[in-house]
Amino acid sequence: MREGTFTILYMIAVTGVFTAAVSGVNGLTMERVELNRKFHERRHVLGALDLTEDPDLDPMEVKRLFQERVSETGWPGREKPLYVRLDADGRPEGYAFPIEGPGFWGPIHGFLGVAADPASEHAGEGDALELLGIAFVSHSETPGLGARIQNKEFTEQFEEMTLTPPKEEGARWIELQKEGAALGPNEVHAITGATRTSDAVETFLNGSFHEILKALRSLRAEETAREKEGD
Amino acid sequence: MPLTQDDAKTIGAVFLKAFWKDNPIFRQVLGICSTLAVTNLLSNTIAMCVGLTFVVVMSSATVSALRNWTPRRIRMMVQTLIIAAYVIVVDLLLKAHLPAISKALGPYVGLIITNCIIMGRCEAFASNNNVKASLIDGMGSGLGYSLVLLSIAVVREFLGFGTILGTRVVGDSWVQWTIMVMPAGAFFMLGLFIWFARWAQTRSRTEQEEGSP
Repeated sequence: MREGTFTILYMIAVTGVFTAAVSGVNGLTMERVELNRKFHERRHVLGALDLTEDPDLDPMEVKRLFQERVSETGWPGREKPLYVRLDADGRPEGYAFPIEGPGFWGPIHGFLGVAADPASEHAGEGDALELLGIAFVSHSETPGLGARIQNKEFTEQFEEMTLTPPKEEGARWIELQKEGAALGPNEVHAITGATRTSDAVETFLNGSFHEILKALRSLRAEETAREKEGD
Repeated sequence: MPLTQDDAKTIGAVFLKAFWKDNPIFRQVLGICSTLAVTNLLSNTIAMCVGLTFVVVMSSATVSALRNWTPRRIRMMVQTLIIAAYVIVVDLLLKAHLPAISKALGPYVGLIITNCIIMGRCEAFASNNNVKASLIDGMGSGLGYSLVLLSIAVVREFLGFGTILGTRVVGDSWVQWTIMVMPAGAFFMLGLFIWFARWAQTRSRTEQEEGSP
């Protein structure tokens, strides 16, 4: 056999063997990897929907809460399902809207939980968003600094917050203030030492409220129509 | 096959050379990227070290086992392919069994493929030596890398977070050295480590020379 032919055949054979081995391992781990991914995401959905306070909830508990309190529904124009928090009668109480945007080091993904109906004192206004919570599923921020967006101290500030659309065009829905500063109704404390991450989160959150409100309105309309049908 | 005394001596020499005398990090200054990136938490560093050691040992052994058949001209391609296969295996296993650590390490597991330590050992050692010696050489390099990373990680996690392996070891009054968590902290630590290690090496060499005139 000529040397060139051998070289080519050798490369093909080696590639074949190693590709097969890697595919084999991939096949063996695929199911588990997918389960891990789903579990990781669901745990954060529960946090955003304020159904748990425990960041290290075990898989069985996540499964139980999902079966009892959460359903999935389609969301116009999006591939991913929208997670819905249900009350004891199976009526929607809140939605976990996916939020994403550029962080300081890389993209940040998460969920923002919003109540299905606005809080009673804002009932007339219609456009108020009552937040249930926020959860960041993935990010590449600095451990100990920007990564603290996942900490309870930061995320619990969003629970039970009511946001009204800004009066002026282009103004912000929500603002992050220095730690220790007095807070207005639409303000939360930023993360000290992670100004760039805080700014990035503030920017993409503000960019997503408009779409969330639009989606929420159509979801509310759907729900009202369904209830009328039921009557 | 029982080991002869000569074998044991060679094995020891090969290991010591890879582990300390020609340590991949403070002698050859290779693999610095991951040294800086993953050493701010000890748990992540341990996973990275185990992963890298596994890849360097297995790749060295495989390259060595195939060395008599691999055409010289395409040996780098074959080496890269072998390394990549082992790295993907490590990445998949971490994703399946240690998802939290896999997330924290992010792209750095995949980047083991381009880690010069592995390519360097395959090309410089494994492609010219037998499987046993290559295994030992890979083990020495991997553990030499781990020695440096773990030392740096212990200091960075302790100063930066006040914890060791996530357990708090100092009181609440501890002021965290934020810079240790940032990449800059890794540069300081690496610089200090190289300084210390080279000083220790020079000193032991001088002593040997003085001791045996």
